[in-house]
Amino acid sequence: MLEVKDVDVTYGDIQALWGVSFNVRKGEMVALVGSNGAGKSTVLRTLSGVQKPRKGTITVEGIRSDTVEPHKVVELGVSLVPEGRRLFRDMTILENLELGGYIGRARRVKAEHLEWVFQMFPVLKQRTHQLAGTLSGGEQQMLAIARGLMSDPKLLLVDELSLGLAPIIVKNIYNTLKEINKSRNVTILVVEQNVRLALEVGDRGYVIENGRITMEGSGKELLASEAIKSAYLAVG
Amino acid sequence: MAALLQILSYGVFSGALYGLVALGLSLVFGVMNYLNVAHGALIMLASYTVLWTCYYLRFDPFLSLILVVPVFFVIGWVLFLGLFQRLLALPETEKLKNSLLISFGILLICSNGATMLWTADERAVATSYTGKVIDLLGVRLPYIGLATVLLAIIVVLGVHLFLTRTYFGKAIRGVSQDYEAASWMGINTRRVCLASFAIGVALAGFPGVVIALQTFNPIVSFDLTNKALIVLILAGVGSLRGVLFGGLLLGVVEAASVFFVGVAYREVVGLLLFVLVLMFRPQGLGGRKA
Amino acid sequence: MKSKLGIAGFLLLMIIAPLLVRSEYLLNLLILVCLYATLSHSWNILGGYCGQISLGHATFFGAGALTFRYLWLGGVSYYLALPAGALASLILASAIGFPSFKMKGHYFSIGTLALAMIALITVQNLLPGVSFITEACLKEYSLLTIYYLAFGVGVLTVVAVYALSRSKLGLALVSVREDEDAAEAIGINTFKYKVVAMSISTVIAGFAGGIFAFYCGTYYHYAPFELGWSFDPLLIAFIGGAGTVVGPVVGAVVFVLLKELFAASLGQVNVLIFGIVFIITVLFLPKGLVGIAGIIRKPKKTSAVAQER
Repeated sequence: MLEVKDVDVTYGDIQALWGVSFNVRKGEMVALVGSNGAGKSTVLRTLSGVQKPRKGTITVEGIRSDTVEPHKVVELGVSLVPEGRRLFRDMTILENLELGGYIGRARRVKAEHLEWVFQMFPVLKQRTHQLAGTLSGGEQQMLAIARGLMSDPKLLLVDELSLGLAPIIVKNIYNTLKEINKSRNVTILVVEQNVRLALEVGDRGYVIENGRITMEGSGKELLASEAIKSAYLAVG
Repeated sequence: MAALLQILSYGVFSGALYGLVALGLSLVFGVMNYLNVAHGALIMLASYTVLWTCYYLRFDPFLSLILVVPVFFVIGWVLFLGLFQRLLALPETEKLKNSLLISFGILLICSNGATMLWTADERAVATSYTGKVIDLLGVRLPYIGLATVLLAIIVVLGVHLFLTRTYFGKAIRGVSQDYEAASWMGINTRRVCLASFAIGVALAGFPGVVIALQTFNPIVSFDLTNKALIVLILAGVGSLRGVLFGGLLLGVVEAASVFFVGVAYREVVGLLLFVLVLMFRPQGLGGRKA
Repeated sequence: MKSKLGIAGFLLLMIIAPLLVRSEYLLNLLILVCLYATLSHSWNILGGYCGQISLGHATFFGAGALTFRYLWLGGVSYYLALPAGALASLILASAIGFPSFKMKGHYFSIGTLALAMIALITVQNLLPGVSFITEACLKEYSLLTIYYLAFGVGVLTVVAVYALSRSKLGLALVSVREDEDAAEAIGINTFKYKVVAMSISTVIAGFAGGIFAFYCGTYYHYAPFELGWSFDPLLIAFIGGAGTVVGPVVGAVVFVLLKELFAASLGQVNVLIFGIVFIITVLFLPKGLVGIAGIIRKPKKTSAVAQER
């Protein structure tokens, strides 16, 4: 459903991505892992449309998404849960969710979706009128995911959700994501620095290093590979 | 006591006007970080539009709003497409600087253009209720002052409801808080900026009516921009809720300074307050620390 | 070598031209060009090089004018009164200018505008009257003297800015303009450099004010404090090319010519046209008219630079 072909991205004179190609199939949960500065967030920024590739193509269910504006990408069914949450801090939980479901087709099923995300994250339901900025880190991450789901996406992109959260909370949120993936058939691409965690939940994985995809395989295969073990899993 | 109350009431009347003057500027600044210093000139032009509407169509000044506000909405739309749109892609500080410079050019063009077209003579719209007052326990309250306060409350409330109760209003707030994140929600951020700018300019119509009922000429542009900037800073940058408060504060401080310092330095007191706030509390009196 | 010869020839021409062509009209124009070029360069040092866009330069211009006028009318000769005006401008800068750097970025711009309005209103209130030249001073009044004085100050200013632009100090000022936080991070004391820029800038503005007070026969005391004296140098610098040595001079010539061209017509058409030219410059010519010359000469290089930005 998502097909990334030979994508180059540059920031001014600096090239961040070099011929990146990968794909995500319908219903999958795929992990894109790599260390800090490897280009993971650039991949997601490019997929979301705020960064334009210099070369290469991105298609979502056969439709080019790399040439359109970011809000059109959302209408194609791609939703981003950005790094650092990027919530609308001075707006309430409910308002954040409403903006998540801003596009036309999502508005029509707003009530249904609200019910669904509240069921997924009950903690949000109790304080719909609290300002997003006053939530705890874990709650903010849950709200960010819930907001991303409100647009009724076919593909959910999740950027570095573990950042700054306690391991137990991260584990819970990943379990919820897995459940969303399985029960609602939402395809998910997670980008993670926490390689072990991401490969454990992901059906398949890609490893990105210095702006290039260097390895791919099923989550289990990658976890078992020596290269991964020595580079990313050595400690702990 | 009555004298003091009288002065206070004048402070409230002019404060309500200042709030209206700053509203459009504050909206545009909050949403897209444009410092539109031409806002005072747009209000001045709105006053002339009110003047001519009342003169030729024999409208009541307040009724002329049904014409003036849409006209200025269109003017804002055109200004954005023609001049301000291309600044959206710039980094924040460049955006601010360039919008300041361009709108400064517009300010000069409008005030000089208006002088050429309509001379620098003082004008005013006269109505049957001009100069009429209500006497309340010895305090004289002019009709127009009361109408200004009412107008300010209605407009601020209307803008508030629009921003909090409609999808598009929420999108505007979303864009003002995080431009990029808003685009990830499927919000067409460029169009939100366009509409906010047009609304901001349309809001110049309301203070335009009040100014038209007082005496005005093209030079008033500079004074109005200046007042709008003071209120913007007092209110807390981008805080629409603070605008009415900031306006009232400025109005009352000015009125009080007439009482204590003398009318000659009325403006100076407001400006000094402004500079002090800029230096020591640039996020505004009502704003949070960034 | 060739350009040096050209400059020397130009200077010589400017010196002897008024002696050859005995025209008061020409002399008036030349004085105005020198005055505006000087004032615009004063703004340029602070706004163009250091990036601190002042909207309140009239205050320092006015302080120079006020001081000059009082001393001169009081019997002090003009060549002493002129530096005294510059000194007064500097003193005023240290009183109100330096603290204004507590305001950053656009806050500085609107803050200095507010300060200029405070100064204007205060002078209007304290000195509401008109300033006349006394009989004694009238003997000293000669357009030719004023021209040479204005020309001398103008040349010195341009030389100073040229030297500045090639110095380490100039580099530091530009670094403050380009990215204040980054400059701070690599150990540049940005406040210090802003103060230095403002000091030079206000001294020059004071000189320009003195020349204005020398040149204008009768005017309201507050006239040199009017907002136009803040806005015009900014417009001139931007249209000519802010942050360049030649820009403000070119801008001043264009400004004075436009002003002259439309002086006969109603209202201030020149300001109207200048406003339009200004907007076009900001939008399409970030380097001003001087930038056009660069584009024509080296089209490729300039467009590459433009893309990088």
